[in-house]
Amino acid sequence: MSGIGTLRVRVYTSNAQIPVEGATVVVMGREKNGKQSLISVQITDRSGLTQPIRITTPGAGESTQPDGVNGGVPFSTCSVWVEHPGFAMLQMDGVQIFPQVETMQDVELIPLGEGESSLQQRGVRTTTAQNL
Amino acid sequence: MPNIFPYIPQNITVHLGPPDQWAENITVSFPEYVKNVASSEIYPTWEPAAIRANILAIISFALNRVYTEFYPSRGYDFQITSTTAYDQKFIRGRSVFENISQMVDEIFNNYIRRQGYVEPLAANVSDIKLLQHTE
Repeated sequence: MSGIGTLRVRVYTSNAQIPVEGATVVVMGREKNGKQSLISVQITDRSGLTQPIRITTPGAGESTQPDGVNGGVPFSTCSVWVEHPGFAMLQMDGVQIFPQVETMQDVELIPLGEGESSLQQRGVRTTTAQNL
Repeated sequence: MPNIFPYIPQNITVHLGPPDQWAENITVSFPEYVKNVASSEIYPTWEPAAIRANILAIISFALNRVYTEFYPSRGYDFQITSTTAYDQKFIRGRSVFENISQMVDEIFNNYIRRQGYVEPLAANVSDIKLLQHTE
């Protein structure tokens, strides 16, 4: 049994949450052999949002009656990379996708100083699994 | 019961580590904090009633920390930590789940207290876990 969940990414800057238009959002999954696979590449719209991305997950029953597939966890994970010239690149690892649930990943980009490149400055945020 | 309500903070300052170790402090809006903790501690695919109970516990626990000035009274410059050994799990920059987010907005500002008391209960999420196992 497997299900489908969706992921949306919202990119903004500063505490005022000003949307960042035109940021490149790359979503990568991980295959069984450990290789990364490309799921989606999108550019954010005027609201700093991507279109919902459909991602395969374990079945919906896994969170209440697990049968041990996918390492016993009821979600799949992906990595999200967000890049925009003039901002430090940000990478999120372990983003969780649950069946029939929309996951909203907020991404706050930090502006760079003069002469700095977005690809050289990379922040990584890792989400650890629920302790259940 | 007097009509006194505890202070509901607009923002909460979270210490991203154990209280006595150096770590960054970040300030987020209180609903944002609750959504982050709920998404970090439970699965969004649980029954809505179970999610609701956990959110109430999370709100109550955080309000208790703020109300009792637990950390400021010990000389710290934050209100809560992100470590489960002391408080509730908060992960900086994590994603939140839409259904949890909506439920937090709905029940926000409700909290658990003892009858006749105003003080928010330091509700423990692990108690709720036990309840679910014995149901």
